[in-house]
Amino acid sequence: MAVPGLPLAVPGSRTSGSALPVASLVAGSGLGIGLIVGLGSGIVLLERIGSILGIVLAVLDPIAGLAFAAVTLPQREPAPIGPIGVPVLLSLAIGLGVILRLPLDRPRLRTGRVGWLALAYLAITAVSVMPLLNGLPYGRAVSGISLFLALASGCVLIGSGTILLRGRDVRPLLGLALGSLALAALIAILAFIKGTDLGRPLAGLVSQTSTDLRAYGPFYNSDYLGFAAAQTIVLAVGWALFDRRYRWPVLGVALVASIALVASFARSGFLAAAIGILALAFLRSRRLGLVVLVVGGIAFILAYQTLLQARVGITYGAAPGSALGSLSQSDAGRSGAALAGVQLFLTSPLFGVGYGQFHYLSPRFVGSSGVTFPHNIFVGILAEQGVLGVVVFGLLVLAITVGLRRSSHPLAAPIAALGITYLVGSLFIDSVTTLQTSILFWIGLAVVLAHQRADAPTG
Amino acid sequence: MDLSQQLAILRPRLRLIVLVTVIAGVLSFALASLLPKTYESSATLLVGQVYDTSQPSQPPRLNYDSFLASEQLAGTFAQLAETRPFLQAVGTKLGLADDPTLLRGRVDAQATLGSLYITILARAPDPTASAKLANGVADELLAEAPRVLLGTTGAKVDGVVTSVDPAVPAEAIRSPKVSLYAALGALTALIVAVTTIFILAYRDAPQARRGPAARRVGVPESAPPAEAPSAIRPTTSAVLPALQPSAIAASPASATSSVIVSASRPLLVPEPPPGPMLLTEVRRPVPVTIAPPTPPVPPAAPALAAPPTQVRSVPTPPPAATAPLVIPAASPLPPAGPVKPAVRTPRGGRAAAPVPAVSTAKVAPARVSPAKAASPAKVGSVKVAPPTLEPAASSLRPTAAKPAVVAKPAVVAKPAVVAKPTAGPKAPQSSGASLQTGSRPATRARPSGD
Repeated sequence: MAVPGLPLAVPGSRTSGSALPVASLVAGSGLGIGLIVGLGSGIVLLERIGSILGIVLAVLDPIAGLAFAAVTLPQREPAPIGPIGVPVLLSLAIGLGVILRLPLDRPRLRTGRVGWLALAYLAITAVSVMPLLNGLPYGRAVSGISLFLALASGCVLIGSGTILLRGRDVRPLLGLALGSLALAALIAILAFIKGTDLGRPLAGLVSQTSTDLRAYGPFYNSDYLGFAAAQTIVLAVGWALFDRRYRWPVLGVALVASIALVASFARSGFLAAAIGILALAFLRSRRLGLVVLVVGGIAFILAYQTLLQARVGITYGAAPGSALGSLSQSDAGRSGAALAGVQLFLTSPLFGVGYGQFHYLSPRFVGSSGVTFPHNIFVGILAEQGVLGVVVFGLLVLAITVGLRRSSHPLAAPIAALGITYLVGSLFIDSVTTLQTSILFWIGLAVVLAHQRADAPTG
Repeated sequence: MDLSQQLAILRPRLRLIVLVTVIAGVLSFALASLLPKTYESSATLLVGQVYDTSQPSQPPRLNYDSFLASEQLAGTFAQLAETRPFLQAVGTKLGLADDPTLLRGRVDAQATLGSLYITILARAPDPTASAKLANGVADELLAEAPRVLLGTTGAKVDGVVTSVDPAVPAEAIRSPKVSLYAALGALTALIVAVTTIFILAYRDAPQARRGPAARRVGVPESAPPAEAPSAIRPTTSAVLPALQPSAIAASPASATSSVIVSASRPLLVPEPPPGPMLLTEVRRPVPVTIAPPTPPVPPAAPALAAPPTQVRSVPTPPPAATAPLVIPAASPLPPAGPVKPAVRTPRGGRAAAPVPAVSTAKVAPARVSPAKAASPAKVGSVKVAPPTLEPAASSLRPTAAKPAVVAKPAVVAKPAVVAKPTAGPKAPQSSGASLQTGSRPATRARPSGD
């Protein structure tokens, strides 16, 4: 409520704790649902129109753009517009929309430690991918640039969300993202049970990039589904635990995500979810944390072997012995990639071998395993960006941790647990450049940074 | 409607935007037209064999190990096709004078992960040459691949690499795509121009310069109860050029009103609060310095991006011997020239002289010359009646029939408590506003906490 006399001349200017504009949420989510229907039906024209309209809407009304992003990003990525993917364009459109609203909303812009460190990290990454500076051939240069764009669009989303969500009730937005993730999980379950041909309007939502026999739904592969499901579970359970409103719907989301996690048989997802739930329990109370630790430990001992057998049975369909052998080969490949990362780091310790170049240079070190991607963001940063990247990224993580502690939002604790889940999952997945699996954490991070306590100097 | 407001910001600069966009588009078009034309052709090869045909009695069976091995081989051969010795051999066979390093810039061999195909892309200034180069690389790869696998053993390996799709002369120019470049240039310029205009408009907007205290005035739940907004009905508008407050909060009981003095912008007052208006700080102290009087200068037309309103004041008595600040509404007072921005706040504790800190300070009577009294002030897109402040020596008093803000000392429910002046620059750390009068030079206005 504005005070007469204040130069808050803009109608509908936001105030602390105010609700997000319903019209924006409805417009953004409605258009997002339309795009999902277009994706699912396989109608390319509808998909293209939905994408373009969503981008335009994001420029005109960035909150609607955020709602659109929360609904659509967890689903299969639409066909790119020109050479750039829709998620990147959408994020940049939201950023542009925020700038166009600056004179109207007149928010106080504070870059803060997180902002400066994120800018520093983006700057060193940008320098690393510039073709004029790195002299890489076309294909490798483009690979680095596309990864940089994905990283930058994540930062733009967080920054825009921090400005837009300040003093807002963000539950509707988080609810939209959780709902969309629940839909993605549901599609994964259905595709796992019935096969990928689900018929209209769902068939088009299943990813075509994977031939995995485990569940993967709209995601790149089963590990990404497991990662997304783990985040969904942790945030939904945390929401129910710390903010009782809408407890049952979010618990329903957690249930669907749990089934999808089981169907994905992704060990990294299980680990990330387990640690996230443990963190939630400890954030709630130490006693609850100890109880969860003990019960979870027993459950792990009892269930892990069974789960593993089920996974190798589904994946390889062979005798358990050889299947387990294949599984250990996969693990060896990941370990080899991590070691290759260290070796790559030693070849260029200060600045790294160049952002997005791990895949091209690791075959020299990985041997016969064939795993040429780092599958671990920390190893990737170490190899690709050297000590400089590790230091800046480490400081960024530290600043985000401080920001999480200083947040005044009621869902700060669940978002902190979500952050822990994200970090654990990132030990097994190249996460930060994948908006599909990062959107929930990006929004959560924006919420936390937008709701810093008054005495906190920076966010 | 927000869109109309956004368009209102753009409208005065529409010609500039169009001009910049058109110039950028034309320049991009011209530059792209000057670039040498390049044609691209592609040839496709298949690497390896993935079906197990060792048992003729059974149908061919997919061999996953072979698939993985072939996938790796495809990547290896793609890398081989971009090596200098390989390209030198290609150049020699084709009779090209290009250095292998230059050839490497014209040839790309791509092996997609999860696929056994290698796509060879070759670029040249004419379509036939590009096809010839692509096929030359493909042929060399067909010849070299078995040798790479078997070294000098002399064994013969068939079917390691097979040609799937030889290159044909390109039909379209690969680069430069002149119209695309022109459109991209124009679009980039448009976005940059619009973004710059909005950032500048934001920078010039009053609220952007205010500190967190002022920002929170409009937030009842976070403000102290006594500072909750009152039921002030908007009637008239007035500009307060004297102290350039950036926000006002009035008590619900209309006992006191608060003015936050921090920025150097005229204040739009839709309606004066019924009670006396006191200079104070809501949450965070913002020291105020009132500079000594300066000679009047001609008025300047205020605008969104105009320089700040100027304020002059005379030296005032100590805060204890104060009278409430009277903020007049629009009145037909004669203009007394513009005022200079003397209301400035030091950043942090940089104040050079002791600053008396008050929790709720009444402003001493001061002579304030109205700024731009003759011309209507404009704040943002809202036109405001010209400020008409009485240039009296004792105080600012409304002379119009309808006073905007009238001082009513008698109705001050809770008299202002004047804090003891604290020495040094840390005075602003107290909970009240700090006013300093005298001849000390004004310090830079900057909201604390920025």
